[in-house]
Amino acid sequence: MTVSEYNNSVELYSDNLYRFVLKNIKDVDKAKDIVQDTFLKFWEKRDNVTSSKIKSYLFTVAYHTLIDVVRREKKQGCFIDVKEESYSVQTEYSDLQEVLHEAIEKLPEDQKAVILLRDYEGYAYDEIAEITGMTESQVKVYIFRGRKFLKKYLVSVEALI
Amino acid sequence: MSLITKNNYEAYLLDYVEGNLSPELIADLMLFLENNPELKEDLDDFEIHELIPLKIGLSDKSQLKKEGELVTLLNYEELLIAEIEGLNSPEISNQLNLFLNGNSILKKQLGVYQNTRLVAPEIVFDEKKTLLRKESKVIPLYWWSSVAAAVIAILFWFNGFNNDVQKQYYPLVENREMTWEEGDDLSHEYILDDKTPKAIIVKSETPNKLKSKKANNTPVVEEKLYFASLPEESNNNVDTSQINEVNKSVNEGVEIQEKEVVYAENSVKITYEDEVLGSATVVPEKKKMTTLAIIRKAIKQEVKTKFFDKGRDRVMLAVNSKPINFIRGGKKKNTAVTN
Repeated sequence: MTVSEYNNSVELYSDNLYRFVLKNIKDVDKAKDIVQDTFLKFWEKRDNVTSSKIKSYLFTVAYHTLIDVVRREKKQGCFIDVKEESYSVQTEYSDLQEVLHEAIEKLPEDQKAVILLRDYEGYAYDEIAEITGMTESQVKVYIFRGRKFLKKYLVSVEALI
Repeated sequence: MSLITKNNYEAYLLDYVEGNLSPELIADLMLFLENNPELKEDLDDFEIHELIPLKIGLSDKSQLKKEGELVTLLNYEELLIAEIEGLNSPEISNQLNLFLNGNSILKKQLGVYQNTRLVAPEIVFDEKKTLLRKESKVIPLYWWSSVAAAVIAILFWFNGFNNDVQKQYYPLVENREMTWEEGDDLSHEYILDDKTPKAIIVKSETPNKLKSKKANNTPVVEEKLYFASLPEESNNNVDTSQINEVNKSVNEGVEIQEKEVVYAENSVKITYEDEVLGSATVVPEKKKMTTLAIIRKAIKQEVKTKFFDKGRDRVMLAVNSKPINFIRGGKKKNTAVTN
């Protein structure tokens, strides 16, 4: 891979990668660090990454770095910690996406990541499985659980409004 | 001879009860039981133990039927998610629509599920430039460039071997030479008035004969305080008999304060180390100097160059042994010199 191709990858994917990481970790500095680390690893491994797999490689590295950071800091709870009763709907929402983005923050890390990969980046189930290291069935289950949670959240907000 | 014995009669009994025994064997079995009446009770036990199936049925079999009803109340929610995920086949999608058409509440749920799709916000990574790499151009190496590089390397080596210096350009002055003999009073040469700022180069030719150059132009003046308190220099190996004469004339315990500046004549920045503290990295400190001490150091430069760093207000010892001269200039601020 040439330097030009590498720089082109930076232009093409760094925004998306940063958005994905930032939405997962909610910390600007840490998100920037993860993006920097990801592209540093990419630079070191650039000769082993084929052109068609660049984006997938970047998201794979970023995802696993992200998971390491999150697990290390133990900031996220597991799915069973997310209870419908814990929904706190006190804000006045300007639009649906605002509600939805608040809802996704309440999802456990795995579900949040797969839904973000699915909705933001439009990845197929098998691609998400490749990025996250899960099986395709696991990805499907997480997306289904996540959608159900989001739907319940939207309904609960709608009921209050 | 009959095949039925006490060891195998149960098998014949079971076949008889289930109707699997031939007429010949039935006759043999009956004859066996007539001869062994104590075993006839077993025949009665086999005949009464028959299970009657209970009539139990599933009340709503329609929920389990696949044919004709792919969408049910049990699975419609998964199919709603699968629908927005694009996983349903056309057949299931049609069935789902038919199913939802009959129930407005369920149909609304499809709309809610469709709303769970996130729209990616515009977020820009503002440190993108730090990720970019510069392209390194490959320059073809011709034979002549190799030769040039070799020549440069050799010159550099010679230069580095003989003179460990870094070049830095100091203001050069145009000098005129002057000499004086032993016993001459040199102290006034170092005290410059405000109107005619000038600089003096002090240079030692021999221990007994001093030669100096006087600069005509105006050097850059920087403040530096000197005092005529003539401290002893412990590491002075130079014959200073001629300096002692000067010493007598200036050392009356009266302080001389001058604003001085010292430049290297050869405009070369010298790689130096601190004479006092032995390191160039130490914090600069003020050092009191006498005019005589300056002369003494100038004489010593025959062996080891002394350099008065104009920026640090301290005495520097040059690493190289190339003799340099000093140009001193500045203003007399407060003098109390006696000739």
